[in-house]
Amino acid sequence: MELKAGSRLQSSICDTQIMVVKAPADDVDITCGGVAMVAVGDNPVAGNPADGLAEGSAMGKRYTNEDGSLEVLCTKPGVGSVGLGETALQLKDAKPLPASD
Amino acid sequence: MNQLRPLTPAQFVALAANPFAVDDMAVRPTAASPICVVDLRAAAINSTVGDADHAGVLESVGAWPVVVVGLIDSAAQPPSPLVDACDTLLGSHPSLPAAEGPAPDQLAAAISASPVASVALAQLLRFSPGLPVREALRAESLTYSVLQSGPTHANWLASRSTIAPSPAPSSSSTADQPAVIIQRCPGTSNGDGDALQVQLNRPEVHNAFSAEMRDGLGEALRVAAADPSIGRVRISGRGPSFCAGGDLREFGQAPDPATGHLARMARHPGQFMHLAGATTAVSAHLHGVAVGAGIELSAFATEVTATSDTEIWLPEVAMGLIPGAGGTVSIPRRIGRHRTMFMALTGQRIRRDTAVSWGLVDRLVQPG
Repeated sequence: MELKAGSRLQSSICDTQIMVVKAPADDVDITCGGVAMVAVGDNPVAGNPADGLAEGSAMGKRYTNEDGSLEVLCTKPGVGSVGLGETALQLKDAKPLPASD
Repeated sequence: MNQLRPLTPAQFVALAANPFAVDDMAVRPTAASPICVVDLRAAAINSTVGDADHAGVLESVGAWPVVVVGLIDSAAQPPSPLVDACDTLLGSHPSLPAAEGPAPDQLAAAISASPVASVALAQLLRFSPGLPVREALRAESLTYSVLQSGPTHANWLASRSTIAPSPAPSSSSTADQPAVIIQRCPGTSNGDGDALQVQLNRPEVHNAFSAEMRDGLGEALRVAAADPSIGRVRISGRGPSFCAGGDLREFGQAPDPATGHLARMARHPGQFMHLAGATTAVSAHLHGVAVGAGIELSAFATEVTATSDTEIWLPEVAMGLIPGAGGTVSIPRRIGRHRTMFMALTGQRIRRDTAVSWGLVDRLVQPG
């Protein structure tokens, strides 16, 4: 699937929805729970996440691949992990800020 | 000069035209309360010169290192450049404190207790309501950071050890839970989009606004701004209060005020409230105390409701600071700068009927 920043996708197996924040140039196999994600609004949801891809997605968190070429924002949480193929994306922790007060 | 003896309108106009006025007001550590009271009641106005002389006053007053307090006598008073030139107003309008009686002295005492912050806030509010929100937030943050290195805030930090420590974690502690709970709920069938329920979740400290809470709220608001299928955001607080304002335990931790400014602007919750509100109906639901950041952030919302027990006030000026969570941007846009100055200078609790009549709160609701 070709991704663009701003694309909105949903899981095929759980409630997870994401928005693409940063997309790689090449087509990627973006998955949730190991099953290909689809554009929001497509297809009914059914099934279970594959083993090792059931950590889940958390509202408002960002996830990224190893080289940082793909970054997504979770806009609806679910039980499946967002991944590329069978590799789960990593939670991207917000950079710690110095105190402002 | 007795600064509480009001200037007549003619004296005010003459002072504004005097090129040495600012020199003569120069800030000195030992100066009396930097306040200038002007009598703008109808009788005084009627006896003075025509409006042609008044147009330059607003521009001239912009740099004055004093808080200009106008005395007015009714809501029916015609608009005047002299009234506009004041930082705050006292008068017999039902929603303003009386021009007679304790109000001028009370204001003067508050300004004396925190003179630098009072003047800095006055100077900020003379121009920032005309700026776009993003720029007004930056101006607020710069002013706030300057005041972090000021004498009154240093004294406040030094005296803070007398503040009671926060309650020890109890069995009901939420420390192992997120500081902000975000739930996405399906919308109703009429196509108004999903709703995001956002709950501040540090009930044991009245939802004191910590860095962790700021980041949690920011995550929720950025989802709302990014996802067009979210139609509503509803912000409330768990426990006895909506939000008690900035977490006092985190004050004094900035590496330095300049770095504090950059950090504040990097993840500003007021900016996120503003962005979410541009695409989504954001509502804030107040109860208990809604203080400092609690009311400042709420005032950005499309709709603000409050239960009848809600207490609202701005504590920052007494700490040597100004509202720093966007309050100098959001609150004047709801109630005007004159009332914002009064709230911020006095730190007075705003009665619920006053909050509604000013438009700080849109409606009162039953506790839910």
